[in-house]
Amino acid sequence: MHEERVDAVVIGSGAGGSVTAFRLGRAGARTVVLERGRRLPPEAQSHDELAMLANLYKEGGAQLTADLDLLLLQGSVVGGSTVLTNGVCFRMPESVRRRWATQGFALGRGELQTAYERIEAALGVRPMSPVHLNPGTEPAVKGFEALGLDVQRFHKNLRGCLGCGYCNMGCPYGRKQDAARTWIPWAEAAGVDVRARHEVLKLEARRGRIQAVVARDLERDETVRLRAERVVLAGGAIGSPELLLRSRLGGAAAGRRMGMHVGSILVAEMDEPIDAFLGDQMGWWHKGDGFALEQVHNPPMTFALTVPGRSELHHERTGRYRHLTSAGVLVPTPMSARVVLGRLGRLAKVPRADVLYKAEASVVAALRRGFDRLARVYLAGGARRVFVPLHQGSCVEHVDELPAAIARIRRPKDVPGLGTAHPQGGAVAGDEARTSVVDASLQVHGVQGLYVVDASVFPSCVEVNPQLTVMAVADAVSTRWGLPPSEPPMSPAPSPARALEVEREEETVCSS
Amino acid sequence: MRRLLPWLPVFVLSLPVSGPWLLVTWWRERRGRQARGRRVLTPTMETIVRRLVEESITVSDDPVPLEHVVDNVDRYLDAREPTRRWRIPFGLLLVDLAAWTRTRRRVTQLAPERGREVLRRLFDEPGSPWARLGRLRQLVRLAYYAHPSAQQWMGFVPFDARTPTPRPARVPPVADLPVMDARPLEVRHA
Repeated sequence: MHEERVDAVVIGSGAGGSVTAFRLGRAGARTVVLERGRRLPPEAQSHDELAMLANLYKEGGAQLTADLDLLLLQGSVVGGSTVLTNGVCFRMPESVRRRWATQGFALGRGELQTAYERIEAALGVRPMSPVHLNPGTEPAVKGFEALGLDVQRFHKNLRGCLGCGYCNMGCPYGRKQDAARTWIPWAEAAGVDVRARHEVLKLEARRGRIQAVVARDLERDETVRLRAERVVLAGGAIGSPELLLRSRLGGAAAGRRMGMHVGSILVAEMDEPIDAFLGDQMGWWHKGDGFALEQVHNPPMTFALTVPGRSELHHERTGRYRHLTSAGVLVPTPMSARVVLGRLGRLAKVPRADVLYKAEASVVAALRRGFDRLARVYLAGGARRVFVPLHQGSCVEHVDELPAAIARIRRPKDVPGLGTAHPQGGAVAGDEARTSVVDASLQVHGVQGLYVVDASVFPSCVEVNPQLTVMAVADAVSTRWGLPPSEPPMSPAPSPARALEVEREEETVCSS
Repeated sequence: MRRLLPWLPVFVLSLPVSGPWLLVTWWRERRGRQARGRRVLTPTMETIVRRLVEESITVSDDPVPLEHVVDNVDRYLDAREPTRRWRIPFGLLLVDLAAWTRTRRRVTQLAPERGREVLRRLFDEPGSPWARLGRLRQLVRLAYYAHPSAQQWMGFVPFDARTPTPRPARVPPVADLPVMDARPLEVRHA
């Protein structure tokens, strides 16, 4: 076993790990970042959806809950899940910040505000350019207006976006300012050593103090032991609790109190072709009672998975792709899920985690309300029909038919393609070691020098897309640790697009 | 797991007979995979993928040759990260076993029409213990619609083939969509 001594080890290179590594590097700490996924720069990315799914997503996009009922989408690449987002950047609702304070994780309003502003400036977060709204936006906005409902455009971390519509499959043009394009290279410029294809096997602690990290170099197939006084766990809401459980750290609360955003997609069909693939996948969002609606129009391969129906019916509907537009319903769950070491996994050399979660009746009810509202919006916006996501592919042409179709959603199993995004919790922050894993400075209770900095510390669901909040929390907590405030450089200018000979102006869009 | 425990002695006792059979089958499947130039799919898995495609994407004017769908499944399974890579190939083999529990014949031994019917019953019948294997339909749909011919048939225009046009020609009404206001750290509820 190869042995090294460094000042700090950061496990994971996503939203939390990358920001923390940058702050540590700028403070002069000899820091190593360990990432299980590959390094896949824009030049190595493409619009081959199947290859990107296999290469960018954890378990090739086929990660499931233990009962195999729900899909769990997470990234496994340098940059983590930030590489897979649509660039959507939300600040967390004030109500959530207040709730966290009552649950033992107090973040000052000013402290968070400063962190958000710093991150937004660094990533170039700004209102999404209307230029890139895809044509499927029009009927939806018309529907919201007809129903007197509020709808808003996203803030995004895109610079010089070309509107290709493949954000969930990376960004081959390097326009999305994900962690792999920003914090990671900035951290490397500050002297941080980022090692891809390194899987952490366990954490070693002795006498209430972290000692070392044992990792496997998956390329060279050799084990390395990194001794450090500070270890930052940022492997995400499944990976971080998994490692704590495997290392028997974090106490009884490790793996408990986990939540996520459960959701699925509703497809609407217009009379005329609208070609909703011409533009950004996500343009608008709407907040409802216990749910959010977000536009999601996937490229053809993943879109086909969201069209309900079987066999010939599915194929026939998918064939009308040019007429179709879609959006998703997202429901934040209570923190009732758990991360446990898999039953079979315990026998394995490196035990893997399973996620146990049964959707509550309240979650199913919120899904029903979300689908109901979304269907009404599209029908009011001129859709010829909507496909309620049921296995039989219930098709609704008039709002009167809607209640009967929606009522058929009784259990999560009734919704094909029901999945989850944004897993949170599992190593939550709080005052008591009995009910939480980390304290307000995100240090693991009873283990000096071991920190968790990712969405797993959230005491409840953040209710909106979390990448910006994870980064802001990492930045705010780094300041609490006494790391000197360090202004990150501004987002780099976009690199020349590999597939394009001439740089296109942002004020142009692509149309067939 | 606990439900399988009573079968453990039966499994151990049958090992003198089933052991050599399992070994021979494993060796044959491995050789078959190499002979066909596949990286993950063995001949049995490949047949099951074909039956799944026939069951879930049945069309008369099919734009994608079946062989290409199988190629895509193999490519996808090969490119995935090592964690739990065994799950999908194992699931494919379970489909074979599941068919045997219903018909006393494996999927690979059934005529295509009969195979399709058996798979439909396995996945869709209420209360079927094999219903979760129906997720494998998603795998073949991915492999099918990832093919450029399928995408062309859908009417999709690849990004590189699109012509830039000035924005004002399109979607003027949505330009005044309000911008999400993040400043007050408050989400407005409808």
